[in-house]
Amino acid sequence: MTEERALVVRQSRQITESGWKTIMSIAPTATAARMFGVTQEQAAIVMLTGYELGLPISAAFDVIYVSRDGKRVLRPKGALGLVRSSGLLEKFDWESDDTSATVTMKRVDGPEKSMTLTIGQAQTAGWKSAAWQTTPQNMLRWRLIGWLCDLLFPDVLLGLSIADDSYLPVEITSDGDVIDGTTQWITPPVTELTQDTTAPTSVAQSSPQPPTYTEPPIPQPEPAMTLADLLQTWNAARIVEVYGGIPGTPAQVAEAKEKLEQADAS
Amino acid sequence: MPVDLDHLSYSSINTYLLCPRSWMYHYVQKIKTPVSTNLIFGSAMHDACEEYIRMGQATADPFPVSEQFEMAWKKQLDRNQEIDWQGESEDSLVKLGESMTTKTIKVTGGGPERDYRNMSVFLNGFEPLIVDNEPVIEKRVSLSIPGLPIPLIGYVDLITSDGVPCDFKTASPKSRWSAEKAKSELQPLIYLASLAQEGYALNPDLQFRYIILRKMKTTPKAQVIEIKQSWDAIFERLRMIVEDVWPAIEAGAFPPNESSWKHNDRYCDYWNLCPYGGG
Repeated sequence: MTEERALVVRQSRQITESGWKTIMSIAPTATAARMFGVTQEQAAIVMLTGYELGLPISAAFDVIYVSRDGKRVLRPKGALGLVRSSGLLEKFDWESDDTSATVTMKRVDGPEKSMTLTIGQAQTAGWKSAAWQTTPQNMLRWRLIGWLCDLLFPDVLLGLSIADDSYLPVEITSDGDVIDGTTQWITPPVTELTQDTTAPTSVAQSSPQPPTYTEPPIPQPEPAMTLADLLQTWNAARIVEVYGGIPGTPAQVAEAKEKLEQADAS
Repeated sequence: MPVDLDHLSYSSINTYLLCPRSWMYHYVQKIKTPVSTNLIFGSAMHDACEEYIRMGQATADPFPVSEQFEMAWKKQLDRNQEIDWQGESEDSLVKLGESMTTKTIKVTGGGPERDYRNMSVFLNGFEPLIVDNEPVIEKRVSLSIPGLPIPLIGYVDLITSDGVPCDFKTASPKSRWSAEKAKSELQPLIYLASLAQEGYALNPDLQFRYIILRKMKTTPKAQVIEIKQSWDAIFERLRMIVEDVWPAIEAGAFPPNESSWKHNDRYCDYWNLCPYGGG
């Protein structure tokens, strides 16, 4: 058994006005460079989502996929990277043989969960993209990793769905990436497969119950206040005079703005 | 390309502005290069001056700057760093340091042109500010800027008793230093902003003083450049850092600057590595 290589990410953050400007300025280049090959708007949404997830802007393209109809989904490999970097993953383990795979995860503040899936079940479900034909064990594992990340770490993943060709007509590679597709939601053939247990459990013994896939709203950026916002109304000397120094955080900028408005009014 | 930083500094930002690609080699790829003799000589002279002033507050008879330089020079050599001697010898640099610190020094700026018997006598004119019974020397300052997720860190060489922050520079005889150049430097703006954010109120006119020590063996010279900055200039540079520099760094924008004065094999540490240089 070997450790998969996960992406390194940073803490989540809120987009600033300048960050959004940067994203919009990079989007044409990202599209032209085929980092993201559909539209500039979709490239911008990928970068915005990545920014909020705490990713470097350019790394967002390795993690997030936006379908032609505008739905954002996380690639399974990206989901695992985000979960790992959150510091909330206490245990991650898997076993596989020629016919099945079992993945176990434990969140630091939650119970351990194991899920098992067999190639027979995959065939019964009708999953038959190219990667399922060539590397079915990898596909089983990524399927289970995606499900467990979605189940145990929805807060880390900001409610984003995970690309999964059992639910979405997207094609996943054996490395956990998305090839292409649309996200017209379809009924999952096999779904809720978890139990609170330390021992792997076969999916055949669980009653099917689909994970909840809700289409996440596209967040509107709420830029934090910066010094530039103050400078639109007051000059630098006035800001320092009234605030008594240089505001160092968005909260201090807001406080300075309040003080300046009060000073102007009095 | 992920950038893993916990702070920025004025020199880091200066490096990025001079050549983003050089910044990438240094701060992202963390490629070590040999230290130049300019850097170790300048560091030794800088440490010697600071230590002389510090010691002068503790004793009436401090070791002269020349002896401080000898000790600081040895410390630099003992740091086990790979040095790019660029054709210079250790002996010639020691002699240069000795000449600069023991011979009569001609000083311009900060008053009429004048001579001092040696570097120690010259430095006696810079009385440090005392806070909590300690001279304010090599003071660490930190600046938070809204929109910048990491702080800007710096070290102010000296704050004199008139409240003015000072910086020692060792410069070649021909390098051009003027009030205009000093006013265009990022360093004073960041240090003044950092001090203001810490609530430092002893420098309301936003003054800053450079003490430039020329590397001249026969007729040592020094230049004192005093400038005043404005809040407008400070805020404009902070805006530039947040809106122009940091987003570019985060986006992984590291193009070479082939029109920079550093774009040559003498001054660029990464010349042989960089495909836009000699690599």
